[in-house]
Amino acid sequence: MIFADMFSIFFTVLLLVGFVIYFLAPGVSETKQEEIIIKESIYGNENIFVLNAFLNTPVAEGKISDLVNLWLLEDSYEARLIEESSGIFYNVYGKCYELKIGDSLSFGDYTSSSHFANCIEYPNFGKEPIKICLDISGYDEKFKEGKEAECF
Amino acid sequence: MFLNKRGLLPTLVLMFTLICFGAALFYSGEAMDNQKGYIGAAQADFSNILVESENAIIYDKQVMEQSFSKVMIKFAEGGAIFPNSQNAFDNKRYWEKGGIKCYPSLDTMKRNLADLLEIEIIGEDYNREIIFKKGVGMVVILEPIISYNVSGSNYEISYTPSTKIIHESNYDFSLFLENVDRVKDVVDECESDSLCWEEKADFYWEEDNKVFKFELISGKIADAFGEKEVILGATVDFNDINLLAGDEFKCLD
Repeated sequence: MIFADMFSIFFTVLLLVGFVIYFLAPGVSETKQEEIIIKESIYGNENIFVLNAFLNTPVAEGKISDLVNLWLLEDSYEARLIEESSGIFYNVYGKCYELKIGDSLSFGDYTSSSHFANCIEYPNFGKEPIKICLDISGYDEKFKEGKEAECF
Repeated sequence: MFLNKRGLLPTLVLMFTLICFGAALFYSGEAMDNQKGYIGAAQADFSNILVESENAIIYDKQVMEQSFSKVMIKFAEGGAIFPNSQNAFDNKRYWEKGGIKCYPSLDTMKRNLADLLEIEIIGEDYNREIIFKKGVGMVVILEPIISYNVSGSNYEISYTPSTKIIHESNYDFSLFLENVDRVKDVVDECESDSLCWEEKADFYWEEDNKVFKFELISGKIADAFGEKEVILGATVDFNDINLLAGDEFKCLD
């Protein structure tokens, strides 16, 4: 009788372990992969709202977006755009950010290996739209490690 | 004890079996898909369409900033109405032709400007409201009506952004109405008498065979790129409409 019980337990456990491994293993790996994609996606998405706030920041010319528009019309506004934009982002992220406006403007000198840059399309007076991209992942990495002071 | 030795073992086996079976079901591929659908993938998809809509709004807002003055100037040059004849004199629009009067009112101007904004700038993705503040300026409010949709195996999301684009301009639209009245007064008094026009009209005009083309300086519009003059231009034709010759005319505002 004891042998029968033992055999029953052993057989049941064996079946169930196999069952669990079969279903659980791929599920977990898929979940991890999915989580990474979701984190990247949501992380990058946050930058859109930062960029929107940046474009609406008041400056002498009106707003940063006005300054971008003026720069699109006249290159002579480049220095002003860099000055104002750097002033906004440097206060928060130090050097650990990268902002690219169009093809020719890029400031913030952080070069991270794991970029989460997020871009918006920006109209260019009827011409091919430009892109404005922001990457603050470098700062966030430092922040997680408690080393954000290194950015300044 | 309510369980003796013989009953304890099968009970433990049963409990263990149930726990393992439950765990297996919970972590099964289908169950995992459901969990991803509700706690991950759906939220990520929603986040993505939220960003897509925000991108579109940022873009359209900037198009408004860059192009609004240009559209207003074009609107004025077109007589604040839509073309009502293929043969408009020098591309000006008729405010009156063959006795048919098409002088724009405030409401028709608002409607026409909203329609022109749709054609020139923003497409059909927004409801458009225009508020004129006499002596102060004007506000254009664009309310998104486009829906962003995304679906997964077990969810469907439809999102219409609530963020409105509000574009303010210092252009005093009442100048349009004042100038329409100025033209009306001259037309009522002089009709096609060019000598009378010379005496009464204090704005630029020219006449060619009873067709009067005129331009009225209607203030300036300013934006981040500077100030530009707004010139309201239109045409009045006192010739009869010759229906037999296939001449058609109707107010299209």
